[in-house]
Amino acid sequence: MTDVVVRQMSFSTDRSLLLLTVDWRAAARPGQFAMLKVGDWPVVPRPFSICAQDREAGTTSFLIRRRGLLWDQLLRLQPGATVQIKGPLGNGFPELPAPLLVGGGCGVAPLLFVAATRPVAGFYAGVASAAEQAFLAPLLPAGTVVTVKPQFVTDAFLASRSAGPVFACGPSSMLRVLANRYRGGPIWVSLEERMACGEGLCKGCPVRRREGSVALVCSDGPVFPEGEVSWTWQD
Amino acid sequence: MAGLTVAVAGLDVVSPVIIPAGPGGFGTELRERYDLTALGAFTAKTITPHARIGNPPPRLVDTGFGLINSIGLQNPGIVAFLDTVYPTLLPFPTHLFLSIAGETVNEFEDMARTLAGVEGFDLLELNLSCPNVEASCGVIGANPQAVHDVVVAVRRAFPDRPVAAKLPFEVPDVAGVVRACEQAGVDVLALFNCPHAARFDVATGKPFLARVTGGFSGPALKPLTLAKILAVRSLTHLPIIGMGGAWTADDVLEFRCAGADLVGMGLHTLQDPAEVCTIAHEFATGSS
Repeated sequence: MTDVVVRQMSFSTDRSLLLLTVDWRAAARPGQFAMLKVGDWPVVPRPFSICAQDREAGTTSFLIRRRGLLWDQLLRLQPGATVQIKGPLGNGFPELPAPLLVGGGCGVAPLLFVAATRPVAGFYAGVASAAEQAFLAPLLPAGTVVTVKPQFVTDAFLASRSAGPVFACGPSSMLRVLANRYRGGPIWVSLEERMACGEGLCKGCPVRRREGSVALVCSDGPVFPEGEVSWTWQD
Repeated sequence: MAGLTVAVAGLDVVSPVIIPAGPGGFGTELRERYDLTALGAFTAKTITPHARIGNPPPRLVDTGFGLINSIGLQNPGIVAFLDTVYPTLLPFPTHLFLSIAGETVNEFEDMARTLAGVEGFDLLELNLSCPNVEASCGVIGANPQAVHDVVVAVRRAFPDRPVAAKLPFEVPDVAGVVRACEQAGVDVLALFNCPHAARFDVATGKPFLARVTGGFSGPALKPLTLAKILAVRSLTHLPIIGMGGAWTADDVLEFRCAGADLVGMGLHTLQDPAEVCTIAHEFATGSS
């Protein structure tokens, strides 16, 4: 892994989300991710979608939710500290113009990167709290429709009667609702799964294709045409 | 650091650092992306007589100083492996080891016979111990008579290249299993497969892994592995590939103090194969 320096850290007021910006110039496509680690512990790095890149400043940002063993390590970091990174990894979203974006929670991260690279036909973001809404507001493009729990972002999106290709990222329950109810165009979903290597070696992040084969979220994805994904695992 | 070239079962191994079966996949991606020439050997992921889709997700859970995996021997089966994967590996830039698992003596024997006619790899590892499948290959390695029967059959079918036996971490009669390996003609002991482990989500009370338990690996395992290797070293002169917790160059030396000839670095391969190759290179060249 490569050592990179932390440039900036900002937390939501309820400290459930962290926007971590590091000095890392690797050219990434929207939808790709990187494996991140802080020092020697936890030993296994974690995958995070790339949320933004500033080519001029040479920085890359990640949106990280409070979760798991890594969070306590992240809390101890200060700008100037070193973290380890491997990437960019994965396939990324297709080069479609003007997609509709539907994200839930940290699933907005790769969609923010999409919105920074091309015009989008609409952005629908679901968040868990008012604190998260306030934290994400400056990052979201003008006109973004934001829903706060217990509202569902999928309800807001489907009620809009939008039509066109959709890029979606979020909890699998959200992606399934979209897959079952949206008829306005093709959907590409960015899937989340626990990973260890991030590059197709360990077979730790499987997803079942409808035709029965097993794909890997890290190296075959994380972005898949929705029609390829089987949402259940059957032997 | 002095250069450390090792001779194991008639093979000159350029460095004691190897990649064990599993974390490096079949080797296709590794071979394309990394310089593997300083590795002592690479072991391809275990193949079985028929295709296996592996276990449902989640297959991984972190423990801080280690990882629990529940992959379940996902592989395309030996026929598809030899037709589509194996040709992409050749020539392999270092010693290539293949690993097989069967549920019966006949399955092991048939696979070994098939592989006896396949050139381009240097050692056949018998996975007698996968912790993540329900079939009998998970327990063969704990039973001296079963180990003996499998190895005798494999030796008959695969006479010309060395054979390694990968044993389970949890073996009640270690001396009996090691004796069975020696008597049946094993050339190398691969010690050990991952011990069974579990973690639970306190928020839900449910296990993190879809199949509840998996195989544990990582630095937390090292002292336990070292004690077990030491015990086996006192029982046999067979070469030992030690694995289970080696993360640094010093860990490799520590495994050798305990009696290992070669040392597998599994979890570190998942983090970054390039780092494992760098450690291997330090041993191969004596640089550090």
